Parts: sequence; structure tokens; C-alpha cells
Amino acid sequence: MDVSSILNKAEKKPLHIPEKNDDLQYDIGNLTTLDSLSINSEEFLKDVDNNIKDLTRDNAQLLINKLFQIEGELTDTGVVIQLPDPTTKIPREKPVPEEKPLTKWEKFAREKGIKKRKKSRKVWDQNKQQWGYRSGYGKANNEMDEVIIEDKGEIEAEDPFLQRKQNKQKRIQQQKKNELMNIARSKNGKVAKQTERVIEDLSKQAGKRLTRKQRLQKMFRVVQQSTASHGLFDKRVKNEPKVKLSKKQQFNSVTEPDLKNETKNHLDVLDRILDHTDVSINLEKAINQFKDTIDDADIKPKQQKKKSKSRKPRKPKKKK
Amino acid sequence: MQQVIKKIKKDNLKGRAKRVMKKKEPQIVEVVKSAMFVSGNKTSATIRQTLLDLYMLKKPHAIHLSRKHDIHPFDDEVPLEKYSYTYECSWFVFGSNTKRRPNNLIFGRLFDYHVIEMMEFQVEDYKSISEFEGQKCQNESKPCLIFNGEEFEHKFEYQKFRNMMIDLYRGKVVSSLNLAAIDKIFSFTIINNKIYFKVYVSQLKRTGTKFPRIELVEMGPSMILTLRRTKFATEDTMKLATQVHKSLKQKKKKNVSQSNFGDIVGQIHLDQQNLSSIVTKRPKALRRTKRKTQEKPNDNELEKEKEK
Repeated sequence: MDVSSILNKAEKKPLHIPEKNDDLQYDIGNLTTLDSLSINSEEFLKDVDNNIKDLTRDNAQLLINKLFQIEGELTDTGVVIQLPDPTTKIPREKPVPEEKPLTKWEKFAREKGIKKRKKSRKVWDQNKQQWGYRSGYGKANNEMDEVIIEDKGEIEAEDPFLQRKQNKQKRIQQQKKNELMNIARSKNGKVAKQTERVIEDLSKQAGKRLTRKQRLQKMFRVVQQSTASHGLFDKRVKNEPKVKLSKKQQFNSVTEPDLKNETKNHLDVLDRILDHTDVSINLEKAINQFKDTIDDADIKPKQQKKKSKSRKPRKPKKKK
Repeated sequence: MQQVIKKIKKDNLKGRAKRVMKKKEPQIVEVVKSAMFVSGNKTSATIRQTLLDLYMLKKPHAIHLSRKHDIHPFDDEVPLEKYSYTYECSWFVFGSNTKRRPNNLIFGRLFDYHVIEMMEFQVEDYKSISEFEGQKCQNESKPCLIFNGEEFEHKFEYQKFRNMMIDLYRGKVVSSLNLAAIDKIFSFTIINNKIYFKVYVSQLKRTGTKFPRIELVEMGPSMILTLRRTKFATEDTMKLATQVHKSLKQKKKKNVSQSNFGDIVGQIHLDQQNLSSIVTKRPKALRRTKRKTQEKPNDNELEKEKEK
């Protein structure tokens, strides 16, 4: 009986199975393997390049076999498989993003289950008879572009054009206030209340425009104190009001120490340092920034374009 | 409050600045890290070629800063951190050549624009990509990374090296992969504390079965790396850097576990049974009847009940 053919068959391994054992550690999500057992350094060093190539080939074959075991989808370009998640722990590039605090509206919308709807970017402008952007510069259906305002007996203001401008400014201020309030609300406890209060005060002031006299007075007050002596030795102008200097700092007495409050004062300082959320000095800074923007908007009205030719002549108001 | 100021400032940004800042914001899922390849003040031809080749392998998520830079990463990391911010790279490979440390190559990674880990190597026996003939691989294909040697498992420094190489060269983290696109194989072999760095192009050949046979052709570069200085992240930093966003964490399923054989086992909790309201079979004798005069049950019937 001739068994050689059978033996040959048994000896012949399939081409895709390497001779070495499969004792690798895999991270298939990253397409990596680790073979920690196969290297015998003395033998290996005899023909390093070829040995490395053979070992790498075998290990790569084992990895590829693992990949081809996963059932995939056949596409035009080849078989596409779903990779498992990587297991090797690799540091991130940047810290995990903090969760953004919800604004008042977002909170409300979430409670009510209101979802955002997509709006088209352009809308039809009836007056211009063309498509225009919904918002932004040169937007469609802009109230402010209208040259004539029809009086249907509803207009109460003396100058409806000015009225519109003022209304727009009001809306802008309100929006700014809302935004700041949302930031304030996202802080906790004490700071939130503090910030809210200041914003409330400021927004009340925001509508009021300083007169020229008031502005000069304000400037004058600053200048009065601007010398090294806080204006003590300066020549006085006629009827110059007295400057109120800021309060003198009160120091605790050394001879009669206030033992009751001493520990409390120290702890307060410590709290202020450790609790980053409560930094009352910077609150002012933040608010001042807000204030500046309001002042700018107030004092400098937007300049019209120099091309006065293109400016449309305003039609006379309709009298009631 | 400082955060408030920051936010106000950020909100005031407009146009291009706003877009740039938005790009720099941290993401929940990070897909790929970019690397910069920086050459030092003094370089040798070998190191320049090394940087260029390593850069070619990392393309397109890489920047090659080939001019001279007076930077010494182990003494002062600040300049690299600045570059990291401007170029949005969280990886750097730095090459230099001095008398004290000839053919010096530093791999370093950053977290939140701070260098957390660095490994310095000497480059020996360098052979560039151009010295190898034959097929080259595609740039953006996802490579296989193969590590041979027991040190990669047991020695701390080489464990780190393995982790860093996976980080640097794994390419995009993807959920689906086209099997035909596998064509690049990185091989890291460690013998007697020397790391043999080699790159191959793979060819998949049909075997008549579902599985192909893989053949390798060396593409280059090829070099031997010997470890010099290191700097590793503390455990705290590493913990911070490997955090996962809340939304990606898998919620633990209560009362569902897996047995040793891989079967899913569920556990059901029940309230205490209320025996007073339990519905059972009651013998006729105990039934309340509306008849005025109750009859005694027959003996036969009692027997039947017992049988049941």
C-alpha cells in the first residue's frame, strides 16, 4: 500500500498558516501584535535582517488571518470589516472637553422637547424682488432699509425711523445682557448672584446715553487725580469740585490685636486663594469689558459711508 | 471669574480668529494626532535623512521643520510646546548630532501642549527609503505594527516605547477597514537592548482559501535604535490624559453577567410574595356558597381532591 501521497498531503500545510505557534498578544483595533516568546538572541543574530523579516512575516500573517476571520461586507474596492475598539491605552491630545452649561433657552427647550429645525439660508425679499440672506449684512426684508413707512394710524413716535433704530439698539442690549446672564447662571452660588446683580445694574445704565457735559465731567474727575499727589498741589480751577479720594486702607492694630476675628480673616484669605470661582476683583474687570462695549456703542454712533451720493434721500414724514 | 473673562474674550472673537480658536478646542473623540519633525542646531546627513523619512511615513498628519532650531528638549521644553501650539501637533520627533550624543533622535509626545514623555535614541546603521528598491506604500493607509521581543512586554521603558510607536504611527482610529488597503507593516524587534526598526510593504497573495498569504518586501527606512535618556509621565498625568468622556463610557448593566462559558446570565429580583392574596385551588369544602344550608362533601370528592 502506497501511503506516500497521504503523507504528503498531511505534511503540506495551507499557505496561509505559518509554521510558528500562535502565541501573540493582539490589539486588533490598532492592528498591532506583540510577540514576546519567539526570539532566541544568539541564533537570531547570525542573520538578523532575514530573521526579522521572517518573524515579522509570520506574525503579520497571524494578524491578517485574525482580520480575515471577521465577517465583512463586500464592496467595489474590497472587503470592508468592522474593527473592534482599540485596547491599548493611549493618552489623549487634549483634556476631555468640559460640558458646556446650558443656556436658559436650551434648558427650556430640553424640558419641553423642542428640537432645532433647519432654516434655509436665503429668503425671498418682497421689496427688492430677489433672494437675500436671512440675517447679516444686507439681509432680506430689512426693516431698516425701508425708505417710506406707511402710516396706518398706528405710529405714535415722532420719528418712526429713529424709533426703529432705538428699538434695534434695545434688542442688541437685551441680547448682550441675556448672554452675560447665561454666563453668570453657569457659575455657582455667590458669584452667580454677584454677577447677576452687577449685570442688572449695568443694563439699566446702558440705555442712558451720557451727555457731553457728563462725559467731560467724567474725564475731568480722572484728570484731577492723575498726578502723583492725587491733585493735592495742583492749581485749582474756579468752582472746582472737591475730589473724593478712595477710602484709606484700615490696618489692624498691632498693639491691640483683634484676636476674635484674626483666625477668621486668615481663613477668608485662604478661601479666596483656594476657591478660584470667587475672585471678586476680576468681576469688575469682566464687567468693565462689558461696559466698554456698551459705552462704545453709545457714544460712537455707526458712521455712515462717506459716499454721500449713494445715500437715499429720506422722504418727508407723513403728518398725522 | 477668570473663566468668565476668557469666555467673554473668546466670544468677542470674529471671523478667522474665531475659526482658528474653534479648531483648537478639545474634541470628545480624537481621531489622529499630528507630529512635527524638528531638526536641531547641528545635524548630520543621517539624522536629516532619518527625520525626512520618518516624516514621509507619518504624512499627511505631519510637519517637517527642517531649518536649524536651537532647542534642547531635555533641558528646555518650552520652545517645542510653543511650536506644538502654533502647528497643532501633539507629537514631535527631534533630531540632532553632537560630539557627546552623535546621531541623536528624540521621540516626544505632548498632552494639552505640555511635553509629558520623551525617549532619546542613538541611530545606527541607517538606510533610507531611497536606498531600497521596489514598491512603496500609500501614504494614508493604516499600518500594521508588529513588535517582537520579550522586553516590549516586561521592561518598563520598552513598554512605553511600544505604546508611543502605536500612538505615533497607528494612523487614524477607524471603525471600519478595507482589507485590500493593508499595505504597510512596521516591525520593531528588540535584541540585546537594540531596537531594529524596519518597514515593509506587504503583498497579499491568493491561496485558494478565504485567507491570503502575505509576502513582505522591505521598503525602508531601516535603523537600529539604542536608548539614551528618557522622561516619562507620572501616573497622575497619565490618568488625566487617558480619561474617557462620559458619553463614551459604557454603562454597567445591572444584574446581567457572563458565566465562565460565555453564557449571559440574568438575575431577577422579586418582591416578597403576598401569601394572603395568592390564587390557589380551593377544595369545594372551603368554598363559600350562597346556599343557606351547607352540605357536607362526599367522601369520593375528598379523595379526588387528595389525588390532585
